[in-house]
Amino acid sequence: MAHFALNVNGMKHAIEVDGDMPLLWVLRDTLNLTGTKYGCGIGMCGPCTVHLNGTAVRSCQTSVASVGDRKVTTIEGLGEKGLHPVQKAWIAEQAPQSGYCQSGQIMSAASLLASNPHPTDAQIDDAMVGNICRCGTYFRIRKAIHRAAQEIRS
Amino acid sequence: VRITRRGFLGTSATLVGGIFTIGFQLRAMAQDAPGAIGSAANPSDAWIHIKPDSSAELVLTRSEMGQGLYTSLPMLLAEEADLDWNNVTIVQSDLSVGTGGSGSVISNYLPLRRAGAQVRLAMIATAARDWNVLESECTTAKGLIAVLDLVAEKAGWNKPLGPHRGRGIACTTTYAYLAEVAEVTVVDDNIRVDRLVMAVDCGQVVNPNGARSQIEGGMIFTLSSVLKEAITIRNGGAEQQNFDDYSLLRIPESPALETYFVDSHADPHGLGEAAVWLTGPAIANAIFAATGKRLRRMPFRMDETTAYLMSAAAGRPPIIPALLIPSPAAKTPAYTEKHSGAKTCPESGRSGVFLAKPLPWVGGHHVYPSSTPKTRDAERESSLGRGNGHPAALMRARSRDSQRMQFDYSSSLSHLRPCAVGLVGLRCGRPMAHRVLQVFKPAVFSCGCRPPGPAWLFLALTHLLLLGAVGFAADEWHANGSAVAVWTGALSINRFGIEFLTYGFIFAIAGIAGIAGFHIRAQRDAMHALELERQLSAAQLRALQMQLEPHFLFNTLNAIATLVELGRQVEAAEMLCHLNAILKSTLERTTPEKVPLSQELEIVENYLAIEQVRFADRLHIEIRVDPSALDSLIPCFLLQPIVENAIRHGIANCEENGLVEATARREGNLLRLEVRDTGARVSSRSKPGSGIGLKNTRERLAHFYHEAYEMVARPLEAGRFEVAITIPYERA
Repeated sequence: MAHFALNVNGMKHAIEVDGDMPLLWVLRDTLNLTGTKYGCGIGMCGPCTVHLNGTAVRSCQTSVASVGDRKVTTIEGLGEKGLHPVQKAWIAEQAPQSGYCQSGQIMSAASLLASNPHPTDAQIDDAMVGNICRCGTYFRIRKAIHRAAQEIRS
Repeated sequence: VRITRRGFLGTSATLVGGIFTIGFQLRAMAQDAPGAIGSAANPSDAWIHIKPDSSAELVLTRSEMGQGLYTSLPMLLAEEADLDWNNVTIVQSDLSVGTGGSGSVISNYLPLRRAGAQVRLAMIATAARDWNVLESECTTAKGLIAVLDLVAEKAGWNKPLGPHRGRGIACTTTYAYLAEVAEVTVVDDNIRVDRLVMAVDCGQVVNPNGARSQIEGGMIFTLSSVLKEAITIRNGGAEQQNFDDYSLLRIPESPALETYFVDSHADPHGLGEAAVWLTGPAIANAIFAATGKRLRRMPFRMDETTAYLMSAAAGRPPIIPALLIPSPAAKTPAYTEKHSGAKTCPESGRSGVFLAKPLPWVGGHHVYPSSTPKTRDAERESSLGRGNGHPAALMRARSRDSQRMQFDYSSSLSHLRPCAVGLVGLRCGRPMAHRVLQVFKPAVFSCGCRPPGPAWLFLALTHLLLLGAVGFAADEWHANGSAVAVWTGALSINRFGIEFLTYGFIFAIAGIAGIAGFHIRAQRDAMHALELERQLSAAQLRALQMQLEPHFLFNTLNAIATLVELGRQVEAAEMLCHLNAILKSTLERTTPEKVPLSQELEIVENYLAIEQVRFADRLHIEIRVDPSALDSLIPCFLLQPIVENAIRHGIANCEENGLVEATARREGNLLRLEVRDTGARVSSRSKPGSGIGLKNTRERLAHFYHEAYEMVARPLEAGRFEVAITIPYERA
């Protein structure tokens, strides 16, 4: 067990956990931020996606010790003032079905748009390939990303 | 008759066929037998005329008197015959039958339904005949026609696609009517689905966005399952454990989706998972359109080695049966191994479906006979225990015997001695003196040298009798105080008693040992018999398995279908006969132990005839049988597994043509059977004589002929292999 000071969604959290503990479980079990989901535990499916300094990472593959002082952003903290444009686009396109994968999809999409406000379909595919959707909402996800990109630009 | 054809060619008959819709410019008349169906009191007929403008005229034998015939019957007819009820007019033709009152709706109901169905079937039959398609490929269902028209329009069905691209269509009725078009690109065996277009008629759409979402989800879900998501089973469980080896469709493979709903104000009929049904067939049809290859296994892979039997409607080259089994080089073992669920046979290295272990019922018999040797032994032991073994009992018996000997009997038994010596001498045929001496030796001493047998028993009895006789005499000699007493001192009637008991004990032990030995032998025999029976069952089972093996049956049926398609009806009929004979001989046989060679050859020939069609030019067969050998009896299913081995291990592994030779001839009192193949490379062979099949054959031969058989399984030069069996000639 070790002490860590995590910056999650703009708030400092002092926690005492094993350094090997995946960030996912720190978020879900210790900080009770359950919007981030567990899928496969091996980084193959994506619902555990969070941002470290704005970049999407798989929290199930990120040990808490490796986070350091980087800023962790989860789906709960994505929209600093109300909803993030990606979240708005998601609602407008009615993308989710069961919704389980969607927080990860949104985090990946937000990370993509932060670095590339004009993504092509191919760039969207590249950025989103790690996020599986069992309900098959990819078509709407792609549309929602384009819509969000438009909103961010305007 | 003019019928509108909206042919969607390139679709599969097994999934959803080329759909042809029929306009209603068909003139037909259907009539039900008067009074056949209406109630006895209200007999009724229905005549239907379909006019060239696709309106229908319904001729009734009942008059409308306000019962509602004009309203109900056109609707009924329209529903049954897939007509438009607004275009049905009623003609009252015969007022003499009467009104029938309100019951006339009922009495008209069944005749009208039947007549309506006949009209519908007549339209379909006409279309099928005129276009030379199956009736099952035609529909009159307006809902289905509407979605097909819609999806064809939206997908641009008639627009040509570029090279390596194909379009496929599928339709279905669930709660809703659905039709879907898939567009694929197949380059270098990579299947890419570019676009899926779905048209749906589910009545009034209550939540358009939700319904669209449902359809899109259904399409992607199915796309994932037909392109990905292979699950393989090993040791009773799925091998795939997580998303690293269980692959789901991801966003780059997700195509453009279009969903169109028929604008309908009918009651909502539900939507549910309907989209899931269509995507697979539509994609399979599109792949066929792009490549001419039918894929019949999911997930779809272009390297699937499945034979296809439907040549495309658009003049595809005919498929020759020889293609049905590709040579090994054409396979991709890694894929076959991983995705087909097939296991590799450790014996032959060939893939296929093998039983991992014998079926439980084959080896599950108890080997003990129904009587219980344990109980018998227990009885035997307890009966022995009554008079033997315990020192006190021994003493009691001894004193009782000695008293009885001393006081009850006289020396009249002494004459037995020469008699006994004579008998022993006669029996053994050895020098008399030696025999005489041996008689005085307690038989128990010889027990260790040889097992107790009749001779030993005789010796022992003689010894006892002699001892008894001498014992009686000795008493008298003692009483007379003669010199004889010095050397006969050791002989007393008491000793007789002891020996009597000793013999009793020994007999009992021998008895137990004998009975135990008997049972052990009986069990061993029973086990042996059961083992042979099991092997016979196994041989039969193997024959059955091979012949009924789904692949075998599947390939055979495919080959037959291809023959039919190529117009080679005679060959197709022949092949069906062979299949019939094989099924008959394997399913009906009550497994006699031996059958005439001619009968065994029939099975083999039927089997070979089918393999011949499957392998076509790759397999040459020569069967040479000495006519005088035909009536010889041979163990049932002796040859078939050997021939099967020759084909499976020899010909199937052989990339060039192969020859299977079977000969049978009589050599005096012997029958010689030989099976040879010009097989595969030597390296791919299992070692001679190591196969389970050969081992079983050998054991069965040993059972039937003991030492009087010979079986040699050996590789010959140049990868050839021979199994030669020599058995005694038995006339049937």
